[in-house]
Amino acid sequence: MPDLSRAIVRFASRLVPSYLRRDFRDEWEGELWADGQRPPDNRVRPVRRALGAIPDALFLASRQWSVDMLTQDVRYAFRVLLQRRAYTALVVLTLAVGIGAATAVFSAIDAVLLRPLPYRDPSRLVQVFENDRLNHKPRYPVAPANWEDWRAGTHAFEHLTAFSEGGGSLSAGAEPFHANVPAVATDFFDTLGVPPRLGRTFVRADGVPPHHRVLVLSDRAWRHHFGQDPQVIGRRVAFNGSDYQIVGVMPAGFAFPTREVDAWRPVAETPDLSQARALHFLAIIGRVRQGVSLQQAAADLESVAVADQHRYPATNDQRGTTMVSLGEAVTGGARLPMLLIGAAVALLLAIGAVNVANLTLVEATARRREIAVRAALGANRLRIVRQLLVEGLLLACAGGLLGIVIARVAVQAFARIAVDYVPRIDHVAIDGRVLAFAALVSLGTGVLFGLVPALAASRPDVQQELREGARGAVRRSRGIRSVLVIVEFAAAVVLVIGAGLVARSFWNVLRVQPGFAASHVLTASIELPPRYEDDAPIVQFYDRVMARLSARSGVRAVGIVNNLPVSGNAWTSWLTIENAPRPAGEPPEVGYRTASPGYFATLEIPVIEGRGVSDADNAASLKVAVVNRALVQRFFPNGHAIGARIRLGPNPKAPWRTIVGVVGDVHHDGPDSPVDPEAFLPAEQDVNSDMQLAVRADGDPEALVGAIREAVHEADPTVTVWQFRTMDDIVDEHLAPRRLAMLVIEAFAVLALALALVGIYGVLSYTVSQRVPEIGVRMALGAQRTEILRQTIGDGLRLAIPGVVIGLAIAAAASRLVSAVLFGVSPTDPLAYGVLSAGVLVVAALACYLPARRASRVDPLTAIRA
Amino acid sequence: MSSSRHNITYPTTLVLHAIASGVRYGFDVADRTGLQTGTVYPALRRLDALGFVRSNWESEKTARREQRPARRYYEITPAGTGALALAMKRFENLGRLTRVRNA
Repeated sequence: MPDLSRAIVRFASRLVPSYLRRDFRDEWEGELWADGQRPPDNRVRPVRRALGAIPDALFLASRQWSVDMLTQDVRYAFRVLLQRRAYTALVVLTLAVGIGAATAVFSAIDAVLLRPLPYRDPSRLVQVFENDRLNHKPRYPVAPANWEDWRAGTHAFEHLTAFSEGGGSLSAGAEPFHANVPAVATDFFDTLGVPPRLGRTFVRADGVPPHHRVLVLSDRAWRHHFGQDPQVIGRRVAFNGSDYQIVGVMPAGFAFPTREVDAWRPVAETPDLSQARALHFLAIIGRVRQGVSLQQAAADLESVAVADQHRYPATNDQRGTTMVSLGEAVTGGARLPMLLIGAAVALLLAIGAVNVANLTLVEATARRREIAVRAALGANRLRIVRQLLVEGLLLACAGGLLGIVIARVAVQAFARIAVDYVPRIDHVAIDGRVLAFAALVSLGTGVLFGLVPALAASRPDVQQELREGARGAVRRSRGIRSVLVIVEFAAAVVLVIGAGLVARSFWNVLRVQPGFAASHVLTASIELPPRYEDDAPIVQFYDRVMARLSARSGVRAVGIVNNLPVSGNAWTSWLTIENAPRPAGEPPEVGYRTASPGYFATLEIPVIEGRGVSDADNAASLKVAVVNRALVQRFFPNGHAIGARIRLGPNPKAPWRTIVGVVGDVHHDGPDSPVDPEAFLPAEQDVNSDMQLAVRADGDPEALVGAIREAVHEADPTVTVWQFRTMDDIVDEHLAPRRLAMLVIEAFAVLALALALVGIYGVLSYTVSQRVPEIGVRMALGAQRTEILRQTIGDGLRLAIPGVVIGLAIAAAASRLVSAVLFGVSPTDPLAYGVLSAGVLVVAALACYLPARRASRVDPLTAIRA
Repeated sequence: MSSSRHNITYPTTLVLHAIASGVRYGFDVADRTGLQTGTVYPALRRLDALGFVRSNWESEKTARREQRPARRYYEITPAGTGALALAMKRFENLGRLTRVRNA
């Protein structure tokens, strides 16, 4: 037989599964030999014949991957996994939590950051602000006249449209309701490039009074208030007492500038308005022309603003422009936290996967005998690797499915809590993209943690393994795994300390005395129709409402104020003190509110000196003001404010007001914000049509909703009363973002700690299983069980302690990053660092206890014999 | 395993036909059918797995006496005979088996 033919068969036989190899070689060699015996003229070239062995071998090898064989692998994997229930549960749970967290975070990031805004060609949309360099306010609302100049002077924009948020009472036949109705320039919808679902959007002529009384409804309002009536176009409604016509309905998913928008109306473009250069209230959206870069557009805009600076120095001194992409303007503040959370969750998932690889490695060690038996019976390496890989993928699939369930629950809960604080989070969904992501992550982790140990475990020295269950193998990977555990503990400690500091901050915020008593107070907002123009009827209306409410049983006190504390609304004004130069460097701005006589009593804000607002403070009497203690402390260094005269606002002709009282400080911007100097004016001396009502109840404040409705309705049935909230709710709402951040970081801390514990448990279990013979010898030589126990736990802590130390160092270094969200606690608070790291070590010791107990129960006799 | 469930390909039918007509060894099947060994052997493996042929090793004694390695031989099974009849019927319309039948 020629050597070449034989070599070909030899080579081909290597591809054949080992249990078939011998037969394969014998058959081919037999045939080739027989071939060689024939008379030469009858012989086909032997090499060509021998080459047929290669397709034959490939065919035999491929049969390993037949459906039958794979089913066998899967069935076997099921049996193995069900036998090892604790291992299976631990792995599936670890993966489910990791994959679940990753999927949940991905779906949130997808909804908030990745998915493009639902407008035509959104990458060319920008938002433009005035950049007030004088007062360091880079994103200031825009004055109408400046907007007009930008529109006329720039060439880079296809559209430069404007809107201002607003609202009022809308009546569609039934009871009037408060509607959010921003006023928009007529090219607003063209700029965003979204066509209406019904009717039309605005045209140029709609901006010219008296044609401006038209409305485009949002899908939300169309659904809730117009019963999705397809005939709604052309219908007339009353908005703020005027007659408006509905001309269009926008599709679902178009809700700009806010989720709660009910309708849009055109800005009435009056000559007065286009002259206004000191009145800043517009938001500007631009669509950059095709072929013009964002930088060019920004430069174009800035050049117009610079020209205005010279032409109108009184109003436009140092006023430039700030341009950001609309995507950034919308998601702005959410971007960095989301990406940070994404990075944290990716890290968690990676640690989880490697952790599971650890556990699998430990399992594989326990199964070395089984694998050796299979190898001895003819399983080739590929087959064994495949078997372990199938087990890995099976676990990953189980983990992935459970993870998707977890993600779904988590995402729904998160979206419900976060809807008011995270832009676009209401679009979050476990959809095809997210499922594809989860599947990819599951497969990736399955292959990762299945393949690595499989490769390590599938090269057993069959003979030695079967003889004695070798002792020294696979020790190489131990160092790597120790490092991994250390890293896990470092990460866990960082997150646990972060969570501790944030939780402590939250606790501190809750303990702040806000300066008023929130419990038992119900509030509501009142909106007067436009015919309330003069002060007298407004005063009369509120007097009537308060008188009626005070007469009700169960009402302890009633007051009105223009802006309730913690509600997010606040006005400021310039403060001038008679005969006193303003202290150098002090900002002249102070907060101011207008309040009725009952207001301080209702919120139980203490009057410290002088008096509060009284019934006698009306339009005819002496102009007075009540100030808070912070104002006295900042502007009256000698402490004597009563009797001094102040003026609010830049108008030098405004009347002087005499300070008649000092009240306690109120944390008007929330308990986590500092107290600002503030002045209160009597409501009858500074009349506003829209006020907020506060009622202190004897019992449950929510029971007074009906009473307030009645009182308002009796005073004037055309008035809208809305936004019923208890003062507790308002404070709660203010704290919600902080609570949300706390929950998220705590969830991550718990996850990280759990992973670290699983990690240390896995490594220690492995070490113990490796050391069984050694422990047996030592116990045979007289070592006590407690000694073994102590020593094994010590082994575990030797990994945990460096991790904790490294984690403490990282936490201290990184603490500056979180200092902005902390309150009343130092970022390097020694108590938090000490207690929490000690706590981590205690649970680490507990995780070590289980394998340690196993070690201490080693039976010396069996251990040595094994 | 019923034959009707496994439609065998044309070359495989040729191989089965050759075995049915008494050819015993792989290389001889290649000679008879004119197919490459790389086609014949996978076909034999498939037929073996389907139970249409069975294989065996000739006795070591014979081989040693003739001072050559033992050879593996193939025989058709009853199931194989049935499957062949079915396959022949299927390919009959094509008239392509005539050459083999006459060989």
